Amino acid sequence: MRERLSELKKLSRLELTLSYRFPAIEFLIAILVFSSGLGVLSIGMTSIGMNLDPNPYYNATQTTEHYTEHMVQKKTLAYVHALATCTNVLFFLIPLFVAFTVARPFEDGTLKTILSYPVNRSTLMSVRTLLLLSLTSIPTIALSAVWTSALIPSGLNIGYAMIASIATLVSILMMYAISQFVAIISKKSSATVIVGMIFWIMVTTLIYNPFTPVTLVATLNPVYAVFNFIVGGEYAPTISDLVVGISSALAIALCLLATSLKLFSKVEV
Amino acid sequence: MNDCIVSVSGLVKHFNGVQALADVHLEVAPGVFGFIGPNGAGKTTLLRVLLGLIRPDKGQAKVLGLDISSQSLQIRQRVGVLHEKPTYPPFMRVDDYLKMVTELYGSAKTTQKLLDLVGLSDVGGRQIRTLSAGMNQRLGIAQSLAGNPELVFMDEPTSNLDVTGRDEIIKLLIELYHETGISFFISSHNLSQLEKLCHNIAFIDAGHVIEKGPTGQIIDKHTSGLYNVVCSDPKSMIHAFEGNPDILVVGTSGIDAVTLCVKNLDFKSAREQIHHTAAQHDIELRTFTKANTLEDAYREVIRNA
Repeated sequence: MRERLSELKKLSRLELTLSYRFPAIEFLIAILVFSSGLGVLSIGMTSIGMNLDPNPYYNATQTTEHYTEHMVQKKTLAYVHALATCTNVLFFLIPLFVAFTVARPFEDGTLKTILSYPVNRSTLMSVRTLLLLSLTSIPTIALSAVWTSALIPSGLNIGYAMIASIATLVSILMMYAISQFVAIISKKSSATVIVGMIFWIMVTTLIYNPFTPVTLVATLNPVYAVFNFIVGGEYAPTISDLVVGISSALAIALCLLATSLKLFSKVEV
Repeated sequence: MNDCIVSVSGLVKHFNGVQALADVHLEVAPGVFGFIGPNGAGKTTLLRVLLGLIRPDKGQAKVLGLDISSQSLQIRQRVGVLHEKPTYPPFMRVDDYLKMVTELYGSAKTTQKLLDLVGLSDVGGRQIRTLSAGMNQRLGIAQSLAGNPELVFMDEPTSNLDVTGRDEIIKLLIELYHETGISFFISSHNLSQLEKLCHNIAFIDAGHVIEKGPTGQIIDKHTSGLYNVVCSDPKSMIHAFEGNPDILVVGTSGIDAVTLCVKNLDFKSAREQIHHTAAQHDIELRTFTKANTLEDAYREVIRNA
C-alpha cells in the first residue's frame, strides 16, 4: 500500500512537471474564476419583486419567510448556475487539455521515453485521470461556492447544492472519458480536439433545443439539467429524470474510462 | 545459454501487413553488443519489443532472464534506455529531470554523480532546450544510467552528432563499460564506431538476422581474400579482371577504389598478380590494402544475403 502511494506520488509529480508547466494550471484557474463569478453574478444581480402592499391584513412574518425562501432559492440557483457555466467552459477546455496531456506524448515521443522507465501503464493513466479531474472539478466547485457565499448572503439549499455538485463531477468525468478514449484510439492531438469540439457543439445544440427529451439533456449535461430542475417550468426535468440522466452519464463515463485503461495497457508506442 | 542478457526466439512482428521482424533468433552474451542493419531493417522494432513498448505477433524473448510479456516492469527496472532522437521536456532543468528519473527508478544515485559520469558536470542548472546535440545525447546516456542498470539499450546513440561528437560518445561508452561493467545493446548503422566498441555483433536485414558472432571472427570470416585497390582508372581495372577465375571484382568502394576478391592466393602473390594485370592495361596502382573492416564484412554479408 505504501509502495503504491509512493508510486502515485512520484507519477503525479512527473505528470505535473511534464504536462502542467506554467501557466497551464494558472490559465485554467483564471478561466474558472471568471466563469464561476460570471455565473453567480448573472443570477445575483437580478432584482427581486416583493409585494409589500400596506393593507390591514399584511402579514409581515409571512413576507419575511417568503423573502428568506426566495433568497435561499436565489443563492442555490446562483451556485448551480456558476457550476453550469464552468462546466460549459470545461466541456470546451477538457479536450484541449487531454489532447495536450494524453495524445501529444504519443506524437512527440515523450510517452515512449516515460514508458521505458519502470512505470506501470495503468497507474500512469489513473494518475493522469485523477489529476485532470481534480484540477478541473475541485476549483469549479470551490470557486462557485466562494463566489456565491461572498455575493449572496443567505442560506443555501444543501440538498440541491449536493446534487448539482455531483452532477458537475459526472459531467466533467464524462467529457474527460470521451476525450481520453479518442486520444488513445487516435494517438493524435488534432483528432482529440476536433472530436471534443464536435461533441461540445452537439451537446450545446441539443440541451438548448426544447424538443430534446429531458432525460437525454440530463445525460448529456447533468448539471444543466439540475439547473433546469431548480428553475422549474414546462421543460424542467423531474427528480427521476435527473437520477436516470446522472446515472446514465456516470455509466457511460465509467465504461469509457475502463475501456481506455484497457486499451492504454496494450497500446503500441 | 543461461548467461545470456538477451535471448530471442522465433520473434515475428508485422505493421499493417509489412513484416518488420521475421522469425528472429538471437542470443546476446554480457558485454557490448552491436545490432547492425540498414534503416528499416527492424533494429528499433526489436528494441521496442524487448522493452514491452510493442507486442510481438509470435515468438518469445527474455531480457536478463525475464520474460518480456509477463515481466516487462521488472525488466525496465533493471535496464536503461536511450532511444533514437530522444525527447526530454525542453523547459525542465537538466538536474531536475535527472532527479525525477532517479526517483522513478527508486535509485540512490545523485544527479551530480550522473552528470559527472557523462561529462556534464557544469550544465545541471541549464534548461534542456539550451543543450547542444552532443550534450543532449550525453543527457540521454545519463538518464539511461540513472537506475543502476545491468544492461543499457541504445538506439542509434550517435545518429545526430558530428564526427567529434560521435567520437566523444564512443569514448564515453568505452569508459563507462570499463568503469561500471554494465552491458550495452547498441543498435546502429554506424559500422566504424561499432567495430571499435563491440565484443559481439549481429547483422539484421529486412527483419532477418543474417549473421551473428564475435566482431573479430565475423570480420575475418567475411573479408578473407578481399582487397581494396585505389587506381588511376577503376573502370578499366574492372574490365581488366573480367573473366579472371582467381580474382573477382566485388564492386567499387570509392571514387577511385575497387574491391577485389582473390581466391587461393596469399597477400604477396595476389598483389603481384594485380600489379601485373594493372601494368598490362596501363593502369597506375596507388594503394593496395587488405579489406578488413566491419564495413567490408557487412558489405560482403549483405551482398551474399
